[in-house]
Amino acid sequence: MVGLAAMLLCGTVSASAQNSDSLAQRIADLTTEWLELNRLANQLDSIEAFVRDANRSARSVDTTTAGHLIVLSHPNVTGVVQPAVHAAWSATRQMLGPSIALIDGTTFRVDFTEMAPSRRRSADDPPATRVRVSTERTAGIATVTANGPSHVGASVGTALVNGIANHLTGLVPAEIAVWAGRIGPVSATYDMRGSYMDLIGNPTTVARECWNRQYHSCRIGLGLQPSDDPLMEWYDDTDRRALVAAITNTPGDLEQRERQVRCLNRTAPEDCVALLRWSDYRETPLKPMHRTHVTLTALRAGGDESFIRLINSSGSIVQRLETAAAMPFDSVLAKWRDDIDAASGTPVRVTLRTGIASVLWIFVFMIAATRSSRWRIG
Amino acid sequence: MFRVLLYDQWKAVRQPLALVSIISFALPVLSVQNAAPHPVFGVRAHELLVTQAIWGTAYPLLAGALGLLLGVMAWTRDHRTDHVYALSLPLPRWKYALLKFGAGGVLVVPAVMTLGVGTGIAALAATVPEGLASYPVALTARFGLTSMMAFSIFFAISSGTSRTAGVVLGSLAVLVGGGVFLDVIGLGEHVIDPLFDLLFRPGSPFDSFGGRWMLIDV
Repeated sequence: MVGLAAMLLCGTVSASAQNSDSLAQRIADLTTEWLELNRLANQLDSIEAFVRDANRSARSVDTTTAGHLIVLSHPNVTGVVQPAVHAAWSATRQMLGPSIALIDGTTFRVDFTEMAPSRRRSADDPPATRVRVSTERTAGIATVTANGPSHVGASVGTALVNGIANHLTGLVPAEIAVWAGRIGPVSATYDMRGSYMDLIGNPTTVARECWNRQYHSCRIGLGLQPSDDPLMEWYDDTDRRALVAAITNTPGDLEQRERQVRCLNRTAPEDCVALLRWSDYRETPLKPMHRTHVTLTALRAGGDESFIRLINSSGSIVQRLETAAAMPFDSVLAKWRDDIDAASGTPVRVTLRTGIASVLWIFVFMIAATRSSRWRIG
Repeated sequence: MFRVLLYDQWKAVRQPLALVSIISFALPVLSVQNAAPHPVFGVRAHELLVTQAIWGTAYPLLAGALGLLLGVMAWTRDHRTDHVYALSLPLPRWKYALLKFGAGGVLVVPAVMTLGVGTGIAALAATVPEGLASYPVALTARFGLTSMMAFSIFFAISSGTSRTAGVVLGSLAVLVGGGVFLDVIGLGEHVIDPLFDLLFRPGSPFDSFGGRWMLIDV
């Protein structure tokens, strides 16, 4: 501002030597310059305010630490975030053991965004909150939507666990990551009960043999047996007919529709093959979730350093998993099958305790019936 | 004396008992209707388990109905005749009640046997996929135990006056009806669920009513 005043003064002094037209022009120019300088000064003030806000904002971040897990969040939500961080840490450590140290040096940040009311399915729906987990390297490494305030805590936990899983999956060799999907303690995918239901309900011959612990068939089912013609080597005629019935309900092409009819009528098995080739069918007999579970089984079996060994492994997928598990792959498959059996649950049974308790109660009620005062006279 | 009382109770319940026995035979047979392999997809284990779980809810209800029938009917004639016949017998009351209890217990057997035959036939007829198994004996044993439990409860309730029996049975009906109502208005979670947890906890009289009642299971 001092500079501006000096400029105006200089301008006024020199004006005496000029004619009135040039003086008027000069005043106009100086006024324009003054306005421009004023605008720049305002911008500078605005930038200073922005920097001040940014610094203040950077200071209003709470850090929650559980073991190696470091999570940043706004102080307003620390109460929700803290228990979720400890739960996520517990789940992750249980799964990975000391290999969890691989998340050292990574800071996770949790942010909340209120979803616009227009995103709700109906006006009665509770307000939804989007929980977003980011790292310095990857923004939005995991996102979970909490439907209602009561679900926010659980959603933070899920988002953190998913974020850790995604972060760790990014560390393993791409070949394994593509084959196994997300590797981490994700309860939704690590659902052995779902694996059990899928395996007993899978009608393909390979799956039946895998159920009967023929591990060569398990390898085929998991897509670990290289094949030039998977459709012919992984499936038999019955399987292919079931696949046709399941995946190609009504092909638009007339020729394919006729093939479908002949295939399902069992008159021409080759039509099943042709139809599946036409639809470019490439699925393995066992669902992708089994691959994730086999990988997690290998990591669990391998103990503390298994994840690090997996990251540093080389060779085929089977060799990498053997390295991680520190045991032959068939042993990993045996453990995986044991886990599936264990997830089957308990069938209908009268336990000894229930039986004894029931007999005692029957006796009690019988005695109670004999003690009625109904016949008492007087 | 026991045979006379047995015959007397048999005469009172034979028609509804025959109906319950037919249902207990048909129930397991009907529950495995979809257990035949699909021409294309084979046996679908998941659908089979879901069907079994749905049909499974009928077994404890049937056991309860059987117990209610035998327990209440055992005393109906006595209540109607003001216990004149029983008082005329040279028997103490406790002995008379025990004989009636024994006779009622014997009448549980036909329905349990027909259920046993039904589960046996159903288990043989069904195509059980690998990974699942059928449990005809366990289901029959559980049905028998639960029926006896229900019978003993209703027998004890009915052994009092008609008024007492009415009050207890009415309270049970109010409990169940109230539970349904509270569930509808959204309060079931806080009121009725803890109560049911208490009633069905291990070792309680209703323990055998709870849990999974599936002929084909994991």
